[in-house]
Amino acid sequence: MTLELHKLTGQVEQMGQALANQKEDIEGKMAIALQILEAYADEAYLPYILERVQDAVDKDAGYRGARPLDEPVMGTFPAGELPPSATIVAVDGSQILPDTHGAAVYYLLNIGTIIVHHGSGEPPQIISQPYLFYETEYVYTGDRGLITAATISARRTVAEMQALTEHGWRQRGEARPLLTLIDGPLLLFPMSAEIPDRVQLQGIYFSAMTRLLEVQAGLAGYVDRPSSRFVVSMLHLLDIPVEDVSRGSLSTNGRLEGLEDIRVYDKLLQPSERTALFIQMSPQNKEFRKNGGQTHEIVFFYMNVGASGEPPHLARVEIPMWVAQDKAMIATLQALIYHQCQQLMTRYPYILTRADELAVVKGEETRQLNVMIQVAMTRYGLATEQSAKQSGKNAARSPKTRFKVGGNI
Amino acid sequence: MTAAWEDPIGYVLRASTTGFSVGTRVSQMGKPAFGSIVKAQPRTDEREWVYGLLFDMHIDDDPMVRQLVLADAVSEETIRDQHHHRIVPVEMDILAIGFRSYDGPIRHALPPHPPLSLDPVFLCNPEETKEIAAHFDYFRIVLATAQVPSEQLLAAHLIATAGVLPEDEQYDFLVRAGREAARLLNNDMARLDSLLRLIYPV
Repeated sequence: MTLELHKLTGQVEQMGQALANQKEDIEGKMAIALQILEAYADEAYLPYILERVQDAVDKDAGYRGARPLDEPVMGTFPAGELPPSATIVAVDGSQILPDTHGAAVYYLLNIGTIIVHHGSGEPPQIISQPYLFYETEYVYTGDRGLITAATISARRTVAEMQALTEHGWRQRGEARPLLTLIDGPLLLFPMSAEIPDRVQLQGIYFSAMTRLLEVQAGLAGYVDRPSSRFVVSMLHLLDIPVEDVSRGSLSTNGRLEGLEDIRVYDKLLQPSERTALFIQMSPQNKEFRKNGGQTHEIVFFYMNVGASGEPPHLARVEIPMWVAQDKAMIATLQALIYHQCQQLMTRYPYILTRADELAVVKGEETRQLNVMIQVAMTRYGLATEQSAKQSGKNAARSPKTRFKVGGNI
Repeated sequence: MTAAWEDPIGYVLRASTTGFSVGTRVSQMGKPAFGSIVKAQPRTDEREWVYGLLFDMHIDDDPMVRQLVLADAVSEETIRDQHHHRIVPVEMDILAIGFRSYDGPIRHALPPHPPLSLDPVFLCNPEETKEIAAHFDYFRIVLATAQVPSEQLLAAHLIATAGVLPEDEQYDFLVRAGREAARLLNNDMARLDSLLRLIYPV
């Protein structure tokens, strides 16, 4: 063991103290946030709020907060009736990153899909599909550098959306409503220049979404324990005078700095209820609207997936605009997500838990795949040695052997 | 519809010459029962068929199952998913009591080789059951194995075996089996009494 825990005793104590102080601080900020929210709770304030957001955008003040869609900002909305039948498709993915010290350089994506025919009483369909990438154009960039983890992560996200679309499309004739669910945000993270095929990836992502729109499927990204501060940023914007709005004043959330959105809403939302719909004012969402069309702009809400009598458990749900425009579909989606969250005590959707289980690649499976690759390489007369660095690490990390009387005979 | 012994009830997970574990799905666990005679049948004739008594069936949990047990509203689809797809098989443990070499008779002794992983396991048909129970030499293996509930196991096996015999032979069969048990347990009256009470016709 190399971590000398006794040297951390003092630091851990300080950490506990600091976290306790932060908690007190946050409770004060929650009270302020609720005051601001209450002040603008009336639906009549919606045009004013939209005007303030537009003012910040016009001033190019770097506003990244929320913009209410068409509902009062303090409104709470119950889930609809749980439909007797529905089709739910969920997808998750995992990867093995390239190892330059291994026998061969490759990476792997594994996509898990589960299709639940809600109300049928039938076992779900499950699919796990691995994809191995070893060709130079996939593994290296144009200047022969190894592709980054961010690139693989982006390709995985797009592969997840493609799988969701493929299976969602195949279920178009099954029981409605048809809900397709992905783990994590729908809004693609910013794709920087380090991702060589970012333009193609975005194109594939948008066209996959379009196919779901064509079959009128519900689409949602589920974010558990979100730390987002979009609504808090909006409250901060409303908290400062219009003449003070600038890049400087919006670079923090002022007296609400450090407060997360879910802390604002967790006392307001009853089990299964959601907040108003909001649009996140980010360059990525602007790009979604520009390249995917208005139907693809991403809208979000928070909902309480905790059961009655339990502390609130808030999740952020992201939906495209074509879903956001259908309030009945949102209510049904809420009911189905809430029902999924009641299956497990963690209050995380069962169907996403299973999609993750189908996708995840365990360490032992990685080891077995590496052996398969080494065998295949040997068959074709290729050297399969690990690097000296990897061999040394394996030796140092291997389990120790206990001496046994007679055990070595 | 196929007979209960025509399709495998599961496949060998791990094995030794004293017994083996069988993995199966929940949907297949209705056919075998505690005390059933089963055989692990290799895919080729180069290895022996290994016969044994099923002495334990168990279902392991995992953190997800523990979560589901505590949740209030688990849907039928979720339960069917757990039963049909999760990688947690129902496990059955088998005590080896005999083997058959290619085309030979069944011998009541531990097999020379264990079955291999993934060998299919079948319930024995009535003819094989009668062939095994024609002699009681395997009683000693069962009664001498401390790791199994031997009297309960032998009693369950004898009652199930009597059930495949013609009705007018069942009583005689149980009496003969009881006498053999009495011979083997003549210095342990408590165990003998327990066994005889279990097989005494109701």
